[in-house]
Amino acid sequence: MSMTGMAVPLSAGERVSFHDEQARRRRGTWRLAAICLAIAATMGLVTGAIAGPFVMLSLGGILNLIAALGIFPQAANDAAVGIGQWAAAKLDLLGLVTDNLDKLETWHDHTVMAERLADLLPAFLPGLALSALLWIGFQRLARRDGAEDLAEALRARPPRPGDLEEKQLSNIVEEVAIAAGLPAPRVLLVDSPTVNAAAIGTSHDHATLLVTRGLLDTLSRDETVGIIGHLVGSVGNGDLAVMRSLVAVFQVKGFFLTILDLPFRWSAWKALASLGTVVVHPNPAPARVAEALHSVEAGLSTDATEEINRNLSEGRFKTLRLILMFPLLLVMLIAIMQKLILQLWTLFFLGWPLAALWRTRRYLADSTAVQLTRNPEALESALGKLGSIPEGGEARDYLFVHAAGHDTGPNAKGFSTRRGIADSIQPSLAARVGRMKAQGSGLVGWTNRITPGRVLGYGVLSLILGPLVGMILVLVGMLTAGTVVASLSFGLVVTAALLT
Amino acid sequence: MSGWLVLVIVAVAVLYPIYLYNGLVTLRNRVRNAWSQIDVQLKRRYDLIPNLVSSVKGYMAHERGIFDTIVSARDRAAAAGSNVPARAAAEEALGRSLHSLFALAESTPELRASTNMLALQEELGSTENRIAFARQHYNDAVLAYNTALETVPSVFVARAFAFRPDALFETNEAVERQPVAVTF
Repeated sequence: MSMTGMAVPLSAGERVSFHDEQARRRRGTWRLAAICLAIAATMGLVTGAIAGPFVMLSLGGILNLIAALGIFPQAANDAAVGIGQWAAAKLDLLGLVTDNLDKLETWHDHTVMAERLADLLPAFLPGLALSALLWIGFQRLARRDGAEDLAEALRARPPRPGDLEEKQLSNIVEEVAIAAGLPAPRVLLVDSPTVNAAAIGTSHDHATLLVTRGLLDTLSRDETVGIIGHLVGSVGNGDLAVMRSLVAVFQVKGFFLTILDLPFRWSAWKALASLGTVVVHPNPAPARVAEALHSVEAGLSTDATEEINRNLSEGRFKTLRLILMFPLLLVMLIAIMQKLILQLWTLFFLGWPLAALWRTRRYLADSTAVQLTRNPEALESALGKLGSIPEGGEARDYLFVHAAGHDTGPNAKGFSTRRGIADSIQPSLAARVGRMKAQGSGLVGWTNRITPGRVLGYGVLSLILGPLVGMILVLVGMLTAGTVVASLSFGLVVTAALLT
Repeated sequence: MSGWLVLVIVAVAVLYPIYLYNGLVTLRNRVRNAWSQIDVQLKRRYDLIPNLVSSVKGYMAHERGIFDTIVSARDRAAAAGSNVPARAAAEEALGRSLHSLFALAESTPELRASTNMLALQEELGSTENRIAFARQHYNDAVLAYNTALETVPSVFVARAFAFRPDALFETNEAVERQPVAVTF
């Protein structure tokens, strides 16, 4: 290649077409989704240790009820007793496993142990199956709420057709929807001076875009087109369904914790009641559905723990209540252990890939916006002007175009752009602007090249963090194993005792 | 065992072509839908033109010729129907004459200041964007469909059921391809 024909050389940077960027982010989605699923399934094993016996017990109870009503009394009773005996057998097996844990010496011991563990696995299956069903159910339920509560919390209003800026926004949304081949989403305006926007709704046929008035006042027409391109691209890529499936994981965990909390806090009953109402109701109001889902999610929060603490330590008849609760002490212990494990696993293992998955979806929507508008420069400059979440939207911050809690701004360099990598559900603006540059001008300010300094830095960091991470892994692993054994043995003892 | 294997192979041999055929039909329908979208947007532009002409005419009585060009370009575009290359050429001509109308309006001070004109300009600008986006979407759809027609494995199904490739919506006018001469 001759040098004479070359134009002004661009500064060294990576250039990528939006097709390649999208393919990369789609692959990333699958990879991270697989990791999340694996971790969630392992967490499901812990939940299954208590949910499995719970399902068996409920099934046995229903069979006993059927027998009491006089429908095939013999067969129903036999089936209930059969479930109880099965639980008892699994309990014996669990005893064998735990007793022999410290006697693993020869190869034979290990194979026997592996066989016993495999035999024990069916005890978790009812719980895992119930978790999977609940996961699907919660997603279906969340389809009904469509995050409408966010529009209410922000007091969003329809655009005024007389206002030129707002008329322009409606035009832009219709234009971009045409580019995406989607029906034009509904547009609502939020009277807030911050520059931000969000997409809510149930599917790409019923989506709503929330745009702040500050965005209209600050961004040019082309920049607004870029942001709307991101939102419409996100809706078209199915992010609403992705988000529902991620949140449903926590709703399933919250549901089980709410059931375990039933004897100890009044709000657990209320949460289940409101959930039951919206499930039974043929056409519940979106706000009611959102409220019910939030109250189930609250089972995971520290507020629930605090309420239990208050119930045990304050108010009248304290001693009487403590005596009444005494037989339930084991249930409480199991509930606390389960909650602890859920929080530890979310913090150490599930949070990272989950946040990374959502960040990947943001990059995907960014490059979809490039595909729709073919104007990466406009989106790049628009990203640089984005601001905080408008007041009232904090609970649903992940739905906004930009929500990094501790972002260092679009001009950050080096390691500071990596801050918040563990918990930030949105990529830093600097990283997003960098990807926009790679899809546009190719003039990249900083790149992720391997330099001796970086290698040394990461080496020292891993030397310090390595043992720490190892310790955390061992500790969490032991706690998890303990919780599984305690939950399973408690659940199986109760099931076996009540059903046989 | 081997009986099962044969069954699985036969099932795959039957189901996979069905899957490919359905994929091609989906892509073809997407192209048709994208074309109808262009049509909708072009119709929107035709409907805006009388409105535009009537609100500008009073100020620009001396520019008779441009209105005749716009109206005749509109009629030619409407006559071209769904013949893709002819339609594309007629629409290009209409778009160009609208652009020159706006350039003239810019140089008329009374018009530049009028809010009515600003709103109309936004509407027409938005319509131009919609047409461009609808074209882009149509071309993307055609690209995906034509690529599927020519690549393995769907090419075999396409040949067997005589799927025809579609034409891209492109500018054929030589003027558009010429470099723009700028004089100061």
